[in-house]
Amino acid sequence: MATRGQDIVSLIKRQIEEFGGDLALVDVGTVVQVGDGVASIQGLQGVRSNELLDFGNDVLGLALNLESDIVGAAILGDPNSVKEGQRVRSTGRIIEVPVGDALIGRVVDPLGRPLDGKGPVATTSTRSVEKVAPNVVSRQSVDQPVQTGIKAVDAMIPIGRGQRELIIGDRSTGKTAIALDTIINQKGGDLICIYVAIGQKQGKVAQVVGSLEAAGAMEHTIVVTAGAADSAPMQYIAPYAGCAMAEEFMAEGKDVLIVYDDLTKHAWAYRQMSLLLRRPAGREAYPGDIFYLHSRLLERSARLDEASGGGSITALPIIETQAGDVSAYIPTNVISITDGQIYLEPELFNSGIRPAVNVGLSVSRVGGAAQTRAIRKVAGQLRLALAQYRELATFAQFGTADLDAATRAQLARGQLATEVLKQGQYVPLSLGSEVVVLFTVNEGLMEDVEIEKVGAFQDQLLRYISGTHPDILAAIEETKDISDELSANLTKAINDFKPTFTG
Amino acid sequence: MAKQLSGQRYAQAIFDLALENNQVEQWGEDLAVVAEAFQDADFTALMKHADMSAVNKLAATATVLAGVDVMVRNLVDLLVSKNSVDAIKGVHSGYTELLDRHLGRQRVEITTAVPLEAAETERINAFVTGLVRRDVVLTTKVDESILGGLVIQIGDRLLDGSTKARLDGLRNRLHTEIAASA
Repeated sequence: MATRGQDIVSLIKRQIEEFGGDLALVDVGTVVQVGDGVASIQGLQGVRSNELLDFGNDVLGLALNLESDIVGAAILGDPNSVKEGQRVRSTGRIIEVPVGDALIGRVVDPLGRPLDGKGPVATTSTRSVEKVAPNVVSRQSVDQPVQTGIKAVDAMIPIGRGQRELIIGDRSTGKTAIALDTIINQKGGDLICIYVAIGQKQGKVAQVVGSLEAAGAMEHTIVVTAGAADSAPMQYIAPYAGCAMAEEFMAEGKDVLIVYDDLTKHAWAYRQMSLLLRRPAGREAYPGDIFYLHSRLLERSARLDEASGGGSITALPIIETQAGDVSAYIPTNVISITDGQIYLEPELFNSGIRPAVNVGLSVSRVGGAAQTRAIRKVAGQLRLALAQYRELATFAQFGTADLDAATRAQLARGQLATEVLKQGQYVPLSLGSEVVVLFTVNEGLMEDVEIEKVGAFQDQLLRYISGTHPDILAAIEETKDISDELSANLTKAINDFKPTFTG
Repeated sequence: MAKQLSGQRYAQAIFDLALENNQVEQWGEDLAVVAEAFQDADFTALMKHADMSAVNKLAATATVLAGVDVMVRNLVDLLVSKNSVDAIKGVHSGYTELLDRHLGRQRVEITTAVPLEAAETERINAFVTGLVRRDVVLTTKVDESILGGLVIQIGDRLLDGSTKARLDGLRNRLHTEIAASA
């Protein structure tokens, strides 16, 4: 403590010696109109686009519309404290956020100011919020997996590092749950996670932070939040700020996972700002550059080649649809930007199939190359079985007695697959456990288990394997593959377990 | 925003007329008188009042602005009859700007915590003239909240040498550096 006190004293001494040494000309302007979080400012001749403006009293602004003699600025902070006739100073800083390791484990606002009451964030460097995405030369293709720990996703919709995978669905269909489980599953791994909450209820953000803390996942996670009560400009810059924090890690050669929850509200915030800044409105009153708004954000997710450090940003943007309408403006935009989507359905969710992934509509356009060999070997037939099952299930409602044996077998396989892929929240599985479960299904070793008991069978099987054959799990985690020998050992272990299953 | 812009347009128009009539400085002073008259909230409210007929409004401006050049009064009457008296402030500031540019002048506002003595003002004047290389029209303002030092505003540019700004800077730097060293 004494040394720290000394440090601060010497710091203050140096500050006093250099006191008032720097004096610079700054641009000033006068607020001529203010309202709804947007100010028109006269003057500010030399101001640049996206430059931070200082309204005084710790209120900052963002210069957005530069016209011949008026500057349109969004107010970041309390808009009620800005008055007409007030003087505004330019800061010379293009909007930037603090970045670095010190942010990990913290909850911050889009300007990097702490919100968790754990004191100031000890960062030393900053990074521009808006940045052009890495160009094509410095990228390489996606070939390493992000293990989500969710059986349905890892088996059928694999996500690779550097991919953009959209999570889309109606309200309360488990979109955030998938993202959270993925973050929790990175515990002890090498993936840094950033959760960006845009326009969310503060209560929900607190709940998210709480469950991440409970799962011990805050140790590798940054939460950036601009809540529903924050001004639209704050919500607008939140994902870019989160992305800038991610880019710092990527530049250091690390792998980052970033969740944007959700981009629908981000588009709403941008629409509000644009309309107030009197930019022309287009379809659904969104401005003309609404596509670019999201494309430039998601384009910043990348996997860099070795020469550029080999880091990556994997993005999981979330879109909330209204009554399952994926052909609305924002959903179609983001679907076309991303490399695939996980489509969640309320019907599935309500019938108890959770995660409520619609297998037919969910795809991963690049993740297949990144899937681990072990999972690829055991999950091959799963997708097909489920797709065929969903078709047949409609007929099967009227009874299966008249159906031929082949169809009945198909139905049974589909039912089993559906049951196996059910998974609770906050219990992501390790790679080894996932492979064991999927292996059991793939080899037909679960076909004699009653459908109602599949969940219990899985739990007991995993407990048995990790208790008596930890070497098998270790070997799968180690080699990420299933050799013939391992396959035989695993089959034997499962057959040994089956008589002990109590049901 | 629209009011502000139209003020600029009117200012440009009246300035062009002033140039043609060779009266730029005289009309500038007249416009200052007009702007001062319209500073009065009651007068402005009267000029905007719907129940007062246009004839009466024009009679009122003729009385109040008796000493003002007829062209300038015509402008005021035009604005009054168009019910856009709010633009007058913008016309005045726009005109002043145009006049300054025409005469090669630069308006500079000095803010200090205590009133300046003549010799000090002279020294600052010389300093600022050297800085902008133009004729300087100096106005001084006293604002105790800056604590000490000097704030020089040259048009849209501000040179902040006030003690308050330095203290703020010191506080910010200490905050960030102490946070960084923690």
